[in-house]
Amino acid sequence: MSKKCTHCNIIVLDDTEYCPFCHHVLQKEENGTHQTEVKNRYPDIAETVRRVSIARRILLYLAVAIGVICLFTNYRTYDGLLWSLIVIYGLIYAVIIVSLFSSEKLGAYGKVGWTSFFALIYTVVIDLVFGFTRWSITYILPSWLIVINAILVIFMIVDHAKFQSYILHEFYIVVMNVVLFILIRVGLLKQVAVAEVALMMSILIFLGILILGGRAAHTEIARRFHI
Amino acid sequence: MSKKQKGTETGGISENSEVVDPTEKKVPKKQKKVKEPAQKKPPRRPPHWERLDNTANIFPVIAGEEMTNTYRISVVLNEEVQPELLQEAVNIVTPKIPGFSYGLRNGFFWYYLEEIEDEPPKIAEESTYPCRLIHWNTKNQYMFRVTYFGNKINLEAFHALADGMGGINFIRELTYQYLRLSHPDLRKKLGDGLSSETSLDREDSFVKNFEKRSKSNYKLNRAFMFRGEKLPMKGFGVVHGIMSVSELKRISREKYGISINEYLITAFIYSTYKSHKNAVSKRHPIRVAVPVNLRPFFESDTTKNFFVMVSAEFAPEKEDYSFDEIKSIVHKSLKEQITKENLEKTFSFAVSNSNNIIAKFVPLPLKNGGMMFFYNLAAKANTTTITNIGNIKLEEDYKPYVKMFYCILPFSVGQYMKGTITSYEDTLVFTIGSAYRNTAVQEGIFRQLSKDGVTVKIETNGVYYE
Repeated sequence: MSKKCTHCNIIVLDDTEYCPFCHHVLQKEENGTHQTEVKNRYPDIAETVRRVSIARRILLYLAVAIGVICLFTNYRTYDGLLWSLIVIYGLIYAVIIVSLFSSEKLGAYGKVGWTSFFALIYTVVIDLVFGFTRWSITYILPSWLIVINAILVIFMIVDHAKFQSYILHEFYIVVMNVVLFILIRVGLLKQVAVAEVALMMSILIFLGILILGGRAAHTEIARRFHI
Repeated sequence: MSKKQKGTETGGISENSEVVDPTEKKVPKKQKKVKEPAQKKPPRRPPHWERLDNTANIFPVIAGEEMTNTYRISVVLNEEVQPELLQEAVNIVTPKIPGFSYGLRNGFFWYYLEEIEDEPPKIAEESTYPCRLIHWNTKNQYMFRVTYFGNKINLEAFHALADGMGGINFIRELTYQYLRLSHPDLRKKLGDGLSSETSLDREDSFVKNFEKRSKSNYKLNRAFMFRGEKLPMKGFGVVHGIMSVSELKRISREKYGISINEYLITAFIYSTYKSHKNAVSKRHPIRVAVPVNLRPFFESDTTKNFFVMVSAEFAPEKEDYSFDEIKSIVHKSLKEQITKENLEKTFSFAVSNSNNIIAKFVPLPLKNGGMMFFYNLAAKANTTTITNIGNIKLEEDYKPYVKMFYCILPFSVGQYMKGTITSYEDTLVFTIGSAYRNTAVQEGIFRQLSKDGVTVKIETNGVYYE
């Protein structure tokens, strides 16, 4: 038995009683010349998508509600300290971590790197709330550069067969360290030993990849820097 | 009696040997393992790599959850798919087809492709909307996925890897391999090698054929854009209009004097015009982007991208237009643009830009920003895209097992309704993918075709019944 929409003059193969276009009830033809193929070739995914969407919205609502409550409480009890910003950023950071680690977009090092970067931003927010004495960018920022370098070395040890493939990541860390060094030299940031250690560490690791990686490292550079 | 005792066959004692008990079971002597000389492992070679072709450079920049640049080609078999055999087929075919075993990597100036040394991707049952994003930005991530549902096999490929022709190359071989595994008599008869129709060419045909210092002939003024309520939860509505090629040929040629491609594009434009008459104007015309396969024009067999976009434009200048009038406008518009000279100018402009010395030396993060900016400028110059991936040919031995093919395009900026035309034997499938709840355009198209005498069978993915 075939099903036909007499309004649109089309045969509908879906397992349905009405036309997907005009929504008129389909006519069943007993002796139709067209062979019926009532077989859905697509899964029914609406329910799954709906559940995932609801779960996400519930979590988002909870985060926003906590943020609003904190902001309001801070406003009512304000004594010169905007502590609610720390809580709000904490909620944002939690959402970011969940998004990062559930994302298929980033590899392991990318997830760890971005998580630590947003943690760095957290220290800046705390610094700002407590009067911005610049301890976050003077000490924490270069320390962060040391930490991500150390994490990169761990990844290179674990993936030692292809350690030279991390050369571009190390290059970017060197560039960040150079920028930090320039900012210190022009007086925008306070000179501290930890910043110099961070710069030295990144240069040594980069040179290590180049020299110890040998031909494989040179091939990697040719690919990464091809124009 | 000691096992060491030897004797004659009858168990007697020889002069120089020990006594042997003939009833004693002979225990085979433990063969001393002859130590083979240690085989030297071949030196580990670095994985192969290659540059992206000119068109592919834009895809990693603009790809995201909303605009995935991942197309789907599906094959519908006459039998239920067996997942374990499909996985085996993927494992066999993937290393044989160049390009498909490559992943995308970030360079400092450009993206590039690098060979993946991991196992081929795992297949899965289809469980989400078509053309979802393939997250290519992790190590060893293949830029394609294979899923199945019922008697259908889907190949979804990121456009940076290959265009429709490249995708057909792969899914054809995958289908052949799967059928040989599920029908051992086929495998016995035909063996496991690649088909002679399959190309392994990885040439960047854009670079080979471009003409230096070419001006742009892209239109940048804004076209008519579809608007309306979208399907909930980022839904993707699919409508397949299944028709006979011979019927369509007869009607398009005899009745209208145009090709099937032009006929279906005209039906799309006419339906859009009729359902959005107040919004379509000369200032905001209906412009349909039509990808043109460049291989026949430049004698290329590459499996990389090698196509350009031309636009079929309908800019109304009077109150009302008939189907015939629109057909003439579309025919003239496409005929003027689809010439070798014009096509060469079109892609030469893009290649010249990427060869520009300044563009070459800009670091990738900054280049991405620039490419994104120019892409967004040009993106709303087209109402939609309708692609015809042509008539897919299979070897005779496999034909009885295959029912049809179809293809689905992902959405892009401003283009939340797109069409594809795929044919196999006498079956042509005109697929419309849409993010909108309203089906007026699809209804108009298939009613028009039916009115002209084409028998139309409709299959959807069920979203319009909710």
